[in-house]
Amino acid sequence: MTDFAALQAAVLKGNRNDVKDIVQQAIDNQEDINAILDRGMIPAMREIGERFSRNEAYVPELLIAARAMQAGLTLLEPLIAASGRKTLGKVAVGTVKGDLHDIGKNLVAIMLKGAGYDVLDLGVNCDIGKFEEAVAQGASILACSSLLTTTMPYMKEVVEHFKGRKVKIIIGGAPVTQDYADEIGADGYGEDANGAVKIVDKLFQEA
Amino acid sequence: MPDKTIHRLTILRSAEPLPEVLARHGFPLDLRCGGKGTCGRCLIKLLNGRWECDGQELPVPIQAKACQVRLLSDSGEIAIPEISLQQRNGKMSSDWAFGSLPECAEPVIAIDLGTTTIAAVKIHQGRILKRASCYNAQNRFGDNIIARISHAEGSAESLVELQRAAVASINELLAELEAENVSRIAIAGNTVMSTILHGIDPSPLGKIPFIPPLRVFPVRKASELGLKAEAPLYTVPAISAYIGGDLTAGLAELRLAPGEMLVDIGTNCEIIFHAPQGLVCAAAAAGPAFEGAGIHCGMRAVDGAIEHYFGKDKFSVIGDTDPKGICGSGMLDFLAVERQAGHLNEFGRLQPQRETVALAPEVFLHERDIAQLLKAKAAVASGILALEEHCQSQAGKIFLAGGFAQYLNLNNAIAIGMLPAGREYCIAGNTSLAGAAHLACQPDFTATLEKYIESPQEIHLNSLPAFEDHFIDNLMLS
Ligand code: B12
Repeated sequence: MTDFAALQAAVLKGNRNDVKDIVQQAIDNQEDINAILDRGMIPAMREIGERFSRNEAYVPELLIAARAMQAGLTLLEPLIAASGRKTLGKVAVGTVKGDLHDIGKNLVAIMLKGAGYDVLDLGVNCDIGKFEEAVAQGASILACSSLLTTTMPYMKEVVEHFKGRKVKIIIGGAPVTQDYADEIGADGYGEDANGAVKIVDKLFQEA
Repeated sequence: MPDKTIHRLTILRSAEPLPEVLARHGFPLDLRCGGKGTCGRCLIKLLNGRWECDGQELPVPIQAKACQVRLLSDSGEIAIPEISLQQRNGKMSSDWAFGSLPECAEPVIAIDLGTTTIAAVKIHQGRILKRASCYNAQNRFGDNIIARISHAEGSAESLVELQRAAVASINELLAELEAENVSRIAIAGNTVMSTILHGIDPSPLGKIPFIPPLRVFPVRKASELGLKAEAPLYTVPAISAYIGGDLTAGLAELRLAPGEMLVDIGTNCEIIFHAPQGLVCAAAAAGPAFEGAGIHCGMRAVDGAIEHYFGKDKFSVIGDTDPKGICGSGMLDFLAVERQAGHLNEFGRLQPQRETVALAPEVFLHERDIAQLLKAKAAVASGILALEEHCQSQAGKIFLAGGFAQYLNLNNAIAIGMLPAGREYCIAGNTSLAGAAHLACQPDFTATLEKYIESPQEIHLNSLPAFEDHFIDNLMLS
C-alpha cells in the first residue's frame, strides 16, 4: 500500500528524494496512477498553493515543493500519457520572445500540472508561431510569462494576434500587473503561480 | 535625527514635467522608478493651486507623487520633504586595494561611471591628489540599466537627454578635480553606460542576442561629448553587453591567475573565472534588493541607513543619525544574525510566526522583503556555483569588487549562503576605477585591455541547466 500521507508530506517539505522513492515504489507496486496523482501529488500541490495565497508560504518554499513535485511527475509522465488519464483541459505555457527567464514559468507549469491540467511547456523565447503551434495541438489557454520590461510589450502582440479566436490568453511575470493585462486586453492575469491556477480554473469553468 | 527639513516652493505652470522643473532649480527628486509612479519615493505635498493626477483634479492640500501630477492653475505652492529628494553624501568607493600606479609625469583623471554612482580621482606622478564622487543624474530615468535602455529607445531626444545627464554629473566631478590642466581622462563603466556616454543608441543591449553596438570606443576629445575638458578621453573597452569595461578594467588590473575569480556584486552581478580551460564570464542578474529597491524600508548606503545589524536594537547607522531605513550590508547582517538566533527558519520565515519585524522605531522588514533578499543572494551564489560546475573546477581565491563588497560583513555573507564557504576572499575595492586610472596614466595600456576583451568566453547562465537547481537550493538559509 502506498503511504499517500507520506507522499503529500514529502512534496510539502520539498524533499525530492523521498518523493522519488515513494513514487517509484508505488509504480513498482502497480499502484493506480490516478490514485498517486489524486490522493498524493495533486492535493499536496493544491495545499502549498493555498498556503502561498494565504501568505503562509513564499516563493522559496513554493519552488522547493514544486521541484520535488516535478521529480515525481517525471517518473509518472510516461505512464500518465499511456493511461489516457482525463485531464481538466490543455494549457500551453511559454516565456515570450526575447526573454529567457523560465524559473517562474516552470513553476506555473508545475502548479497547473499539479492542479490536474494537461500542460504543454513551450519553453522560452516563444514567438507567435510557437503559440500558434500550441493552439494547433489543442491548447485552449495560452499562459505567457515575461520577466523583462523590454519583453512585456510582446504579450500585447500575442493578445492582438489571437483576437477574435476561441483561445484565451493569460499573462504574468514579475513586472506584469493586472492593469497591464486590462490595458492590452488579456483574458486574465495571475500575480503568482497559484494565481495562474485560479485564473485557469475560472476560464475553464466559464467555457 | 532623521532629516525632517521641508522645502516650500512656488511653482509656475509649464509644459515641462514637475520633476524636471524641480531638478533644474536644485531639487532633484528621488525618481528611482524612472517617474512611472510605481515606487512612491517622490511624495510631495500640494498646498494650493489646482492640480490634476490621472485626469482628475485633486483636492488640496494633499500628498501626491510629484512625477504624476500636473499644475492646472498659473501657480501653485508645494512642500518637498528632504526624504523625497535624491540622497547625497552616500558611501561611494574610490579605493582599490592592490598594485601601484604607473609613473606618469602629467596630471590625469580617471572615472568609474556606474549606473547609480560616479567616482573619479585626479592622479599626478603616481599619487592620487584628490577624489570626488556623485550620483549619476541618469537615476531620474530609472534605477536600473534596462530602464535606461528603454528610455533611450523612446526617441533620439531621450538618448540625448540620458547622455547629457551623465555628462552633467561627470562635469560636476571634473570641476571639483580642476580638470583644465589634465592631459588625459580615462573612463570605465558598464556597457550600457559607456554606450550612452558616447551618444550611441543602446537598444541592441536590451534584446536577444545582446550584441553591443561597440565594444572598443574611439578616443575622443572630452569636449566633443560635452565634457568640460579639452583632454583626450579614453574609454575602457567592453567584453560583452553585460560584462562591460568596468569588468575589463578589473580583469586587467588583477591579472586573474588560474583558479582565481572576480565577482562584482551589484544589481547585475558579474563573474569572471580563470578556469582550467581559460577565462569564462557570466552575468547573474541579482536585482537591486541589496541597494534597497523593492524593500519597504530599504535604502542605499546613505546617511540614516542601518549599516550593520548585530541583534535587536543593536545596530550602527551611517552618519550617526536616527535610523531611517536599512541598506544592503545591514540586511545581509540581519539575515545571518537572526537565522543564527533561530528567529528565521531556513525558508526565511520569521519565528515565531508573524509578517514583520521592527528593527527601530521607523524601520521594519516584512517577510516579503526577506523573500526578495533571498532571491538576490541566491542569484549571486547560483551564478558562481553554476559557472564553476560548468567548468568542472572550483575557484580557490575570489576577489570581490564593487562598493557593496567593501561594506559587507564577509562572514555573514558566507553564513547566509550568498558566497560559497571554503574559499579565500579578497576585497578588491573599486577595480573599475583602478583600471581606468592605469589607462589614464599609461595610454598604451589600451593594447592590453583590447587583448583582454577577446579572451573571456561568455556563458549564458540560462543555458546551464544547473543554474535553476542552484538558484532554488540557494534560496534557503543554511
Ligand atoms: C534568475 C534571474 C536570471 C537568470 C534566469 C535563469 C532562468 N533559467 O530563468 C539569468 C541569470 C540567466 C538572468 C538573465 C538576465 N536577466 Co535576470 N533575473 C533573475 C532574477 C534574479 C530572478 C528571477 C526569478 O527566477 N524569480 C523567481 C520566480 C519564481 O519568480 P517569477 O519569475 O517572478 O515568477 C512568479 C510570478 O511572476 C508568476 N508568473 C511568472 N510567469 C507567469 C505567467 C503567468 C501566465 C502567470 C499567471 C504568472 C506568472 O508566478 C511565479 C511564481 O510566483 C531576477 C531578479 C530578482 N531578484 O527577482 C532578475 C531580473 C528579472 N533579470 C533582469 C535582467 C536585466 C536580466 C538580463 C537582461 C541581464 C543579465 N544578463 O543579467 C538577462 C536577460 C536574459 C533574457 N533575455 O531573458 C532584471 C529585469 C529588469 C527589468 N527592468 O526588466 C531583473 C529584475 C534583475 C535586475 N537586474 O534588476 N536572469
